[in-house]
Amino acid sequence: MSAEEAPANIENSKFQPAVPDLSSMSFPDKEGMPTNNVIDISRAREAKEIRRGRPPKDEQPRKIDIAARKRDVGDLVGVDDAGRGRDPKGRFISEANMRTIEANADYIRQNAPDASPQDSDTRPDQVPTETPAEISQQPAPEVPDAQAPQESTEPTQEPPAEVPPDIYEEYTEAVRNGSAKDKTFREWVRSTEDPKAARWWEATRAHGEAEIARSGNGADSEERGSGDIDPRLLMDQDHRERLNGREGKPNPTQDDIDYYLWQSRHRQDQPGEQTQEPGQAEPNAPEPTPTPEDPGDQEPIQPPEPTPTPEDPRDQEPTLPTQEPTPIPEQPIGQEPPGGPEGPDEPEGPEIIEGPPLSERLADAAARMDLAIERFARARVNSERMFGGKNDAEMVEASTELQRAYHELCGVLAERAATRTAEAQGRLDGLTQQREALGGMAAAAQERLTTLEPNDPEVQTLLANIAALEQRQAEIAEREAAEQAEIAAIEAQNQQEIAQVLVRARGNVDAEMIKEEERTSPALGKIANWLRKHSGVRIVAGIGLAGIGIFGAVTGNVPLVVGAMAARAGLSAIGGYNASRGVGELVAGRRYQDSDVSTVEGYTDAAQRQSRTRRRSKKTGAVVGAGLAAIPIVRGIGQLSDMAHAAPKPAAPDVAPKAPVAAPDVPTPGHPDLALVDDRLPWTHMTERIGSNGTPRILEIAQKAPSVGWRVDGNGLGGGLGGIIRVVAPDGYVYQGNAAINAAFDHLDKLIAA
Amino acid sequence: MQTAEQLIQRLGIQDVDPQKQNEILQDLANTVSNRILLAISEQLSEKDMMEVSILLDSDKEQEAEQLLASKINDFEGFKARIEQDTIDEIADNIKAVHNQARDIQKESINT
Repeated sequence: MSAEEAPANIENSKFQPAVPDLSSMSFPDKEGMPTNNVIDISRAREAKEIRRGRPPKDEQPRKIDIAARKRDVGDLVGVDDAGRGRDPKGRFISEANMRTIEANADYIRQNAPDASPQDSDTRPDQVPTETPAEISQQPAPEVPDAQAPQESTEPTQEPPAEVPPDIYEEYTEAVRNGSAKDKTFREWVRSTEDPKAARWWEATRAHGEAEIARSGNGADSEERGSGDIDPRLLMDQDHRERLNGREGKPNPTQDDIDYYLWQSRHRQDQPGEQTQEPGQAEPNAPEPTPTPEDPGDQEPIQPPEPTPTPEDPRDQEPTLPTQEPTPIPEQPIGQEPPGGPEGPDEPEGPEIIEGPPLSERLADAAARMDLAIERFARARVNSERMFGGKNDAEMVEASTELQRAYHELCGVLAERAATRTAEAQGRLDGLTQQREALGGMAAAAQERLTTLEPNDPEVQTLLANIAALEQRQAEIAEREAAEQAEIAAIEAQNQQEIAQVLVRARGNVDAEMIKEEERTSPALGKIANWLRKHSGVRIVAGIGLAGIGIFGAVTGNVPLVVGAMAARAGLSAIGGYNASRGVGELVAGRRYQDSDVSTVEGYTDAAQRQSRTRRRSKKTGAVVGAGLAAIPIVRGIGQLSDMAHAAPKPAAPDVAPKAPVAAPDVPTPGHPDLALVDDRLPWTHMTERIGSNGTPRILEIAQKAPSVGWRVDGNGLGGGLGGIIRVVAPDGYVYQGNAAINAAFDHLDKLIAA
Repeated sequence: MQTAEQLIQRLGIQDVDPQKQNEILQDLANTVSNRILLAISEQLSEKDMMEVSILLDSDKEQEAEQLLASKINDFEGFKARIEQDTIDEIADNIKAVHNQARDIQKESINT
């Protein structure tokens, strides 16, 4: 934009300065304010307070000394008899700005365009006829002598401008109290409310510029008042003018004027979005000045560098390779692909948020699962110790909790897998859509090409456009292929994670049970140790797995407790679960992300627990009948496959040993599915059933049971303390708990009688 | 008896890195072994286990192994059933989670 293209009606634009022209002033360099810049910060802040409707703290209210004002700034602006300021066009200047001008009168005079040639960035010969600069040099209607006096060009000895200390104090305090932790000063200012940022800017910028930036209506109309300054506009203008001056352009250029006019219209349209970045507003906005970044932190006085934002329409590459306007008037190919002229580089997928919440949920689910396993194992052992299943309530509760924890774990795993895949699929879909849109544009261009004569000047442009579109399509196709590979990798990751977690969770239950049993059964401990130490012993190896060369670590030289520990490590690897930490702590907020996983700590904790377990085992030496039953804890989960669109629900506590027949869907070959009977003590049940003392009958059944392949385990006590612990079917199926034992006794009674 | 490939398919880990597949299969074998050990312990009385323990103390490992097996009818069949039950249970659960993940994904796409 040349100087000659400046608008003729510039005086009507919002860039018309209300004070003598400052557009060609020198501005502080990166090193900070020059020492000859006179910035009275306290006065400026005072002015700010006044604009907000609050009188200054130290002088409130302050009367206007009209005579002094005329004397001090009468050469700069007009001052009427009421003390109100007027600009060269006769418009009123706000009291706040008048005070700013008063406070910085020397600075304004010194930096006036005709004050000192070396202070000007703009060459006077390039200032257009109707630019604000020239207008400002004309005498104002009410200010006959608006030229800056030459004697005022002497640099003052006042100290350079400084940032209001309270801003830094606030920042320091924010860092201390954690609200600004890990934030730079710049980020903190940006994140605080606009008025604070505005205060900072207005206090640290040269106040003579303030009126120039009055084109803005304020970043926040409620807070800032109608005459206040939008800090971004101030920033923009400062930067733009510096650039213009450097390039020998007038201030403002026609581009600037158009942009700000558009910006002003946009604000009127969307008053609630005045804090929006200029470049984000409309894609068809006139070319704006590149928007610099927000106020700096380390060098707050330093003017921001021109860092064009990606949203700046000026920075967006045109769809077509030519810089000239496309010669295709109908623009059938002008339909932009999704995301703008070039289309989005990273098309957005479905709005599925993965991130920490899902990881935390997985960690919580894993934690609950682990605790439920431990609780279940303890409950089982306690139940074994208690006579007649007095601890059944705890057993049932523990098994229900275990089921619930497992369902939750499965649900979170499924959600995590779905989220990962959906995100990648969304990206792929976006790329495909983008490529197809470009294909449509290329096809339209081709079609138009057929209608043109070979020597038509539009032909070359169209050919170039088509080539560019095809090249872009090829690039997107490559990215699609990469995205498809990514989806395949995600699928593999999902497969691995789900299988690993579920297998280990299942193994964790058994390992925990063995650990508990070892604690109370020295003989079992010895056998287990033997199995661990001799990898050649395959007595507990799965037949099928061994047949294909897969042996569990339990048959190798690995401590059994490592099975449980490894399971936790597996869980923690994806969920950040530390086995030693309780759910309460996790839920309470100390959540562990993937990066926080302390596998070493987990191993240490597990090792410590192992030592404690062994110490206890040695110390107690308790012997509790036979071992514990295998627990089909998660059999019901398999039914999830039939539950379309349904959240996993806690299954019935079919895992409870007292209710082995409560799951008719579970195939249990080798033992009958018995209907549960009453859950009173077996003696009571039998006595009621036969109508006399049930003890002889119970003993008879227990003695004869092995003859039919069954076994009845008692607690070995006499003297009225004896009791039945469990009834074991020929296939090893255990009936435990009063209701199941009573059912088994009824069955055995008939079987033996037969 | 199923092959390793069939087992991998059942566990739904056919696209996983072979090394990771092997790790998962080892975990599965661990789980099966633990369950067999548990089942053995429940089949044997404490007295039986003490007998085995004494044999082990005397370094009569082969006899101990035979004793263990002799205490359970059809020991090989017993182990095979436990193994198959375990694999079935885990495979079904894995399949269920994958199905649920697909449902969630479909739902998110539809919405």
